[in-house]
Amino acid sequence: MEMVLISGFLGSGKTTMLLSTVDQIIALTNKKVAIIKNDFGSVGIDAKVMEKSGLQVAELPSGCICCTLGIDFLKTLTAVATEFHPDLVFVEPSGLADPASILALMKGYKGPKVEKTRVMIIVDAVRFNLISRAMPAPMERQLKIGDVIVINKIDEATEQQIDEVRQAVRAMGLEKQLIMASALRRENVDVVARAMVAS
Amino acid sequence: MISEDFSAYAIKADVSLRTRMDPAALTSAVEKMMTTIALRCVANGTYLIGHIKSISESGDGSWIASSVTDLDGKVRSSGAFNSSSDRLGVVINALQYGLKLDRLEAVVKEAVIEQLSLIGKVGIEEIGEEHDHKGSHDRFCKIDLG
Repeated sequence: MEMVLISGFLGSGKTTMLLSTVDQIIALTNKKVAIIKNDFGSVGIDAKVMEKSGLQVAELPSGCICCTLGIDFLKTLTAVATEFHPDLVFVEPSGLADPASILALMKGYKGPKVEKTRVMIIVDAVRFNLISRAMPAPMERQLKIGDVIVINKIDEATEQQIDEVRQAVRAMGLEKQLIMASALRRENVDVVARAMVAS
Repeated sequence: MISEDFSAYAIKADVSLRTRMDPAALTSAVEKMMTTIALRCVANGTYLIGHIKSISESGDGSWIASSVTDLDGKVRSSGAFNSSSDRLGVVINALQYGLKLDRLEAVVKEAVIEQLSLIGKVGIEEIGEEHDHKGSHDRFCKIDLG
């Protein structure tokens, strides 16, 4: 079983990206896919949207899996792995989560073996500057831990806004795969889908 | 990504519409409500919207999901209402930086009731609130505005 962690700040488009790519990933890989979705709010609106879009979702609402729901997350992952035997598990934490904490949490995971974990960071190109100024350290941690950085909402962002993300990544000295995409308009989502399952 | 001034609030509204509304009018009413919530939050002190999200369902079960993340209140929606309806159910979840929970609750509730009252009789159900990263409490409180 492989795991893909889809992380990024609130409103960056994680769920939309997952919904835009999951069919392609299944078609590309013929793998059995499961999704574990964590909404911070008491109401799991994204999970409801996923269900209404025809997906079965194991939902972890009302908290955050990088802290209060850590044990629940491990139990859910174990249950999903044991009962459904997926080849690929997508984990979408709340936009408040620190992906590094989730990876650290995985050291306590005792379920069926996770062969590989890939971290996708979804960045809102339109609000990158605003979010980075409001909370620079968490944003930097996210960018550093991602295997792939998806610069999302390119349909709405200006060239300057997109370039600010590129420059920030460069300034950190990171050699990451950068993908420009729009989950909502389905631009470059095929590239994102392939990156999610790249070996 | 939590700071002292982060808060989150959720609310559910059921609307008995005064007249049957077509899909475009329903979508417009929902999006206007979402923009109003966002702009009122910003006017009251929100400096960063995590997200303001909603899922709205009409009488035939069709739905739209709407989201505001920008400070100008721009709404992005997906899904579609399929037919005209005499009822609308909306769940709204607001996560933002800048307003304390009590202020966020007041602002969101007022905007939701004000906007949805323009199209029908509104029943509000508070379905939860959370105000920090290390714990949460849900409060179930049915308020009938009928």
